[in-house]
Amino acid sequence: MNDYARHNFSDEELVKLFVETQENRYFEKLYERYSEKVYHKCLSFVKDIAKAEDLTHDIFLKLIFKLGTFKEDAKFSTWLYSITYNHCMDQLRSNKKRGEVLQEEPIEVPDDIDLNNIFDGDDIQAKNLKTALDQLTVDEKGVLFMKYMDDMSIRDIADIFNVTESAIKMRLLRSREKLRKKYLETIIFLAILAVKMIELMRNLIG
Amino acid sequence: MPTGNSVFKELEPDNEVPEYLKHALVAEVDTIRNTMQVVTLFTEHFLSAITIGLSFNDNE
Repeated sequence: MNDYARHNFSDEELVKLFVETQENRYFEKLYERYSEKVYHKCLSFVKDIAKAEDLTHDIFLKLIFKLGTFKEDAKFSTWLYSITYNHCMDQLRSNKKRGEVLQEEPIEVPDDIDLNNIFDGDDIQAKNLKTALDQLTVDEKGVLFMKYMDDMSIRDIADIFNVTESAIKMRLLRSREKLRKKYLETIIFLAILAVKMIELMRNLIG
Repeated sequence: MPTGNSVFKELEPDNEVPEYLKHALVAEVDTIRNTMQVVTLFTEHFLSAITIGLSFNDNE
């Protein structure tokens, strides 16, 4: 067994080895560790398998070119996710100019507000949540995915968006409230639809 | 009953990434690397030829 097979290299070591040697096996190892996660992230944004594959391919290609700039004190997974999120969101902001700053009405974020839970209640249905999520913008979805799917810290999310922590708290609060509102609207809409269907059935039978 | 956060995590797709994506990527990396080597070699030889040519002229 050779040294490579025996060693269980950390992500950061693999990056260093790939940059130094340019040998594919180190990159392939990183790919094996993270391709599923990156692919799932892309699929969460685009819902289209072919597009998600294209995005995953582009992200890893971008990664290869950027590996030389990776700072060793940073965590590789967080760095890769920042590339993933930025690439997906850039690609999906089709109706906005690239790099355009979103105009946000500042809202007051109380210091004691708990941003750790996306919903206060327990009875949340995944199907309705998905419908509600589809009605959010790519930036709103991005910030919610980072916080509630990947459990990223506010600091890490702020670094990815290149804004302050308070700005992220504001975006998070705003996105969460919008999702809650859309979720409620979805439930109400489905309830009204069910009532109407029952009425229609009664009329047909009667 | 699942909480909001756990339901949100369940929304992440569980599709498997296709194997051909890795092969395509590795092949592309090889192509880029080879192209870079060709360009580097050509530039190096081209510049050294110019340098030799210039020094030859100076000697004459």
